[in-house]
Amino acid sequence: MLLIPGEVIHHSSETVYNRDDGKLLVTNKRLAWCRNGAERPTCEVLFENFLTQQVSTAASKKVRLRISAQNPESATGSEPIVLTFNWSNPNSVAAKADREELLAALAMFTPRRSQASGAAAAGTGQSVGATSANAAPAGPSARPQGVNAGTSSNAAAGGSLTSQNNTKFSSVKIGRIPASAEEIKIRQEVLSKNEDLSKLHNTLVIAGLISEDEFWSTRKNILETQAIQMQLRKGSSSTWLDLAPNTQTSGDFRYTITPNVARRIFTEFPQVKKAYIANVPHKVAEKEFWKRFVTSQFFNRGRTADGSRGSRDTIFDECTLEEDAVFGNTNRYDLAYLTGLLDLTRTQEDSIETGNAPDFTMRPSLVDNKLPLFRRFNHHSELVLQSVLNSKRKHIEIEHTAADRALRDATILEDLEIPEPEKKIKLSIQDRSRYFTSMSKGGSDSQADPDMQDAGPMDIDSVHTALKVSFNISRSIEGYGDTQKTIANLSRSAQLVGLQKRPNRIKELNIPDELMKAIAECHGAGTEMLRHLWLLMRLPSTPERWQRGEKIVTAFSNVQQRIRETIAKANTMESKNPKLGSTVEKMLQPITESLDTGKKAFAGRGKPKSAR
Amino acid sequence: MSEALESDASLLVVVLDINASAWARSPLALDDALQQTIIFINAYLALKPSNQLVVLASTRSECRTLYPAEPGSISDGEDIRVYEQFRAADIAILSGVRALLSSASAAASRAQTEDSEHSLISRALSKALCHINQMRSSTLDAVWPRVLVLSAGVDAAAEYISLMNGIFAAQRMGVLIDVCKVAGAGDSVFLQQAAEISGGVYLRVDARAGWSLLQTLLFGFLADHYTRQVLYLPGNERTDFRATCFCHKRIVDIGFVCSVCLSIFCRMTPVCSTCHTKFAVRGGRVERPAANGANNGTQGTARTISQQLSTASTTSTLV
Repeated sequence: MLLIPGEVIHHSSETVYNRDDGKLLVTNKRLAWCRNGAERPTCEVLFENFLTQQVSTAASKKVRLRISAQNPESATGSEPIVLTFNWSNPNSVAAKADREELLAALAMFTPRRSQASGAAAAGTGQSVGATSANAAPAGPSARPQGVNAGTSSNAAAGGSLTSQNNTKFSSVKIGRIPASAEEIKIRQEVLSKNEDLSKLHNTLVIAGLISEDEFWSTRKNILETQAIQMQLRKGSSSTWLDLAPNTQTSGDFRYTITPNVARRIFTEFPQVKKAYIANVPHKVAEKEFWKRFVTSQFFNRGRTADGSRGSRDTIFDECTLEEDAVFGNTNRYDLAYLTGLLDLTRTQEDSIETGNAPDFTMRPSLVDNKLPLFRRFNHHSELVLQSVLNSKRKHIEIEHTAADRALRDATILEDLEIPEPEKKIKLSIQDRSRYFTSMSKGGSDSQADPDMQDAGPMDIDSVHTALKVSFNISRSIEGYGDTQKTIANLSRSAQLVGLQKRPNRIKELNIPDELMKAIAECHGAGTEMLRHLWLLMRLPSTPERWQRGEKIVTAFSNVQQRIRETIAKANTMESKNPKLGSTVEKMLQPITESLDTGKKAFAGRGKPKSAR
Repeated sequence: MSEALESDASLLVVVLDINASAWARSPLALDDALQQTIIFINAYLALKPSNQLVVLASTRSECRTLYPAEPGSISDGEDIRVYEQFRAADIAILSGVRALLSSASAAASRAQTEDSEHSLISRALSKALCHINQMRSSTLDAVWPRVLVLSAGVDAAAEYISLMNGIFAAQRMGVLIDVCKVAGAGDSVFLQQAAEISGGVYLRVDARAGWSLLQTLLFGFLADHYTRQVLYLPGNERTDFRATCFCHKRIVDIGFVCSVCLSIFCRMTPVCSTCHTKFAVRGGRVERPAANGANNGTQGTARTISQQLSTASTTSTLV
């Protein structure tokens, strides 16, 4: 095969592609397949277009490699081209070993597209670890072109190999304490949910400015919240268990009872559970048991108003009797267990005039055949409510003492009780002047008017003689203050208050959403970078810290570029706000200035000696 | 509480701070300030016939209700040429202040103590709240109460607790506390908080810089509850709520607050150094501000400022 100038073959494997025999070559520039004897490769993938690789499973007979790559001739984001290669060596073990070698060679050159998953893994000292190459995307940051998490063989080696070749990847800092797999999962979840955060993550962590741990150390609360959310377990379903049969073509009915359904039947029909334990499997087979259950009168009377449907069955007739016995037993309402209180508000709702008439449907003899259905519903409601309370079924306290206690509690009137004197402690404040010093900021306010302070103590008599009260209130008040000045001051103050209190004054500026987003991003990235820069500068200087600081400062230009772009965009954009450009500029002014200040401060600090 | 209607009456309690020492140094004479205040009060009474008024005056030694005056206490000797409806109030206020001044002068010369610029406002505030409560319970119509403090002296540290209690009581009763600092050096930190907490307006009239008292009163304090819903009133635009700790006088963002006396500390202490309350601290030493055990009635608890603020915004917050 003809090579491009400077190209070196690193590995070649005998493979079949499109039923042709040939060689799959990994060079330092591309992955190419060349038919035996041909000079030009039939197909090739430049490494910059490389997307994902997939390998056949260990169990499969054929040894295959599937490569997907971006089509260099079409725009980004179009359908990738997929190439599949079969190893021609009939000895699958040897073929696999050869494939692994090829993949190892390949891993040295392929760029890491899956930035987030790669970074999360490397940043925390974890290998990608998945045996399958097409691991699930880790988050939105992994969205761009899919994932090439690597195969099992190169996963372990991936970190060290790529770090030599791919500067982007190697710059991701590895945290001192590796995060657990669980933590990584939480972080990925957070990133996938919060687009803004993932963008910030991209600009800071993926760009290598700060380490993964540093990024998350200021966002512990987000992680904690996410962890709690992930721990929440779903409660049991509150839906009504509806066993609907499938109608077969032959006209038969077919019920499907899975263990899950069976469990729900047991909770809904405690009697069936009892019967199941008593009969299955030594008396009847499980299948037979369920068959009898769905055909039984017991089951069908709960499903339809017509209670007589279904056939009689010895097992389930017993259940019916048992159920009726529980509910029909009037001894449940032993008068001794009832409190002697009469609730006068019980019938308050019954008001025929307004249409809220007393319930007539519950008359015993009228609805006897519907009774099971009522009970079923009531039982179900009870189960649902109990699952919310997360408690086991509570039995009503059936004790005479409980009834007595309720009666006593209800008849005690608090107003008639003798109040117990409250325990009080006298407040003895040692030094009241401390409050004043606390509030007045060391007396800075009281010194606002130095003339007053200098006046010194005055004679009491002169103080009082100086004060007089005149009853002539209709005298002229001219000369007591400048009205223009006062009104100017008052309206300025009111304007300020108005500005602060207007709830949507940012909305009033009519800034388009995308601009708003861009502004927020500029601010977010800038502040985060500055925070880390200032932190580095506060710590004792070391060459390593200095390098990181320098990296952050260089990254400032990206933010500044973004700021310029945003302002330019605002200037050209059509908007209701005629001064959109200058407004946006003003909004971005603080961050621009802060970045400059940070840059200057860092430059003024100079390199530490050992770094020179 | 529902929203105020246009037809609802107001109840205004004016608290006059008659601190002789402070007024003597003020560039605006007490006499002139009184005149302008009375014009404001007349304007208030003229706004709505159902508007009610209480005027209190407070000196360092006592606090009196000037209006409504007790029958027979006003001498008819003085004559004021005003609209008949205002006459009673005007005469009561002026003669009341005059009487108060003479008795304060006598008390001061008797005691032979140096008069102080520190004003005692909490007494008057409590009395104002009592008046409001009384008037509220004696009428079935909706009355919207507010207090206007015309402050002259400087804050007295000794009355911090009682003043704060008064402010919180006012907040619970839905009473606005408006504060107009007429004389005296600088702003009153306590009264600034009073206005902020109760939702009132704080304005300082700097007579030396040419501010007009009457104009400030009319523009800043005449609006009733109903009108205030639609107005941006001046004032309160930059109240500094940062607090300094009692132990080192450092400004703290997060600290410990004694639940009994509201002292602020930057570090956890087992005993409050201000009121000697022993705190119930679970789990030994506390490294950083954190919620502590419940108050069992005999012992205090230390709370963080942020917690304190959620219930009663007394001390500090980030500005």
